[in-house]
Amino acid sequence: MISKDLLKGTLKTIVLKLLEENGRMYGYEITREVERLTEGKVQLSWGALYPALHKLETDRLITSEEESIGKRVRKYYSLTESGTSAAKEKVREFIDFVTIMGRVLDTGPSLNLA
Amino acid sequence: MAVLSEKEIEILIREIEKQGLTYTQLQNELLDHLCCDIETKMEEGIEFLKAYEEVQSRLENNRIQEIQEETLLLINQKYRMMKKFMYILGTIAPSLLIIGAFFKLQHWPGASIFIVLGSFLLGAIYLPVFAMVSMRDTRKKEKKVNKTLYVTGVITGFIFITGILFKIMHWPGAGVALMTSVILVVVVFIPVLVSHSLKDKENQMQNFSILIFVLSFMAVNIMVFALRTSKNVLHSMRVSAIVNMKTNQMVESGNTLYLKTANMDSTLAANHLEQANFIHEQTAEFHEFLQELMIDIVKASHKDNQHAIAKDGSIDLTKAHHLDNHKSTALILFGTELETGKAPALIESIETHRELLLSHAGSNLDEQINAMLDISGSYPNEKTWLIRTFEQTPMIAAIISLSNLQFKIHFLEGELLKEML
Repeated sequence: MISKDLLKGTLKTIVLKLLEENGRMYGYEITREVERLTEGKVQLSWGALYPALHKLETDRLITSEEESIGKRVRKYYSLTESGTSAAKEKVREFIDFVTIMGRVLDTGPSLNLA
Repeated sequence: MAVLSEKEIEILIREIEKQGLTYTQLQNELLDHLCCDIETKMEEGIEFLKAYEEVQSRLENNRIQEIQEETLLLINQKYRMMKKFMYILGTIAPSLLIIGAFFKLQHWPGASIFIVLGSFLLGAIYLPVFAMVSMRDTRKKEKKVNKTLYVTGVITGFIFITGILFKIMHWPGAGVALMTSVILVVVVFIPVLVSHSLKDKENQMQNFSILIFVLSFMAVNIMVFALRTSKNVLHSMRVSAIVNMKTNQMVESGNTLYLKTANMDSTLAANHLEQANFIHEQTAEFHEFLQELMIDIVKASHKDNQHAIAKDGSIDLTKAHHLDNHKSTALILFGTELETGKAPALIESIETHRELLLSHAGSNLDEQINAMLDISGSYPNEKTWLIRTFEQTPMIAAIISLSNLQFKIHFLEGELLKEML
């Protein structure tokens, strides 16, 4: 399992990247996708996910549309224009960060991201 | 794919609502998430209730409320609005107070409305909103919020502003409120603030300035008490005027009685009696003129002052308001551009009365009459008696001067009667 502290700073990047790839997703879908991609090593708690989603929405990086499914309402998120560029920017930034951290912490050649 | 029945969803909705979730958007999302979770589990062959139990841990310990709080904090909706509101109020409230103060200074109507509204906005709304915004700011920086500091600060501030407002409006209870706020500051707020700043090393500058402001605020608070002094002076003057009026009554009735006895005394010369009665009538007439002048001045001082005038024309100063109105006297005596004042009539009456007394009195009373009814200009700066007694004079002082004049004419009447009869 990846610690929450490490995850905290990258959560937005993860969300933006996933939305960039998948177009339109809802909250539960995002947690499932992250679980699938990380083989269960990263489990997003909804306590972390939803505040982050709402923050991204107020910052106008993502937009949402609601669809009712029977008695419940499902909220789909997708990237805005600025969100798309932010996603690219964030991913690039993160890769830089990991590369640099790899050098600092001397994790050796196992790190091969670029 | 398993889909929850409406009934099952109902259960979940109720469960989420129980947690006190008020932000509907989030509520819908969490519900959907919960449903998906359970549905996935049901697909694996677990029953609804069992699946529900498994995810239930997410609903425990107010976790949902925490999520809501964090979400709201992040998206800042309420907070942003409050901050905006705070800035707007912060501009409006002092402006209202300044306008109110200016109106008050000019004795224009409506000053109270501005002052009351301004104080209310400042004390009851701005102060709590400021505390809330400030608390959120601190929490956002992930520092511990000293709730005691904010709560005592807001309460003390509110009581202080209320006290000042009551003081300005002359409402009862101002002293108690101001005293309470001083005690709260000394006993609660300053200790809390000092202990807080000792712990909070980061914001020492800020905390220090707050402390300085609080101490200055204390000084102002105590100074406000000094305002009582002028109130006490006014009170003494009121007492003095009341005493004057009572003395006048006594001297007057003494004179009337003296004359009545004399009238029944057949040994006295008829022409002397006639003269004495004439002096008495003239004095009564002058007394009446002065009394009306006082009534006019009292009435002009405050709109409710007609209640201070009894039907018989006597003035009950305990019911009079705005004793320090320094415009009413000038208004009645010196008039306005449209209306001439009563000053010329007053001067004329005094002169006539003096001439009358002098013509009837023996030469040994002349000096006394001239001294008592002297209206020439001497001290200070050669100002005439009229100007130095009534220009820029508060109402109550004018009343004292006029009732004193009443006393003088009754006293002189008495002297004259004694001499004549």
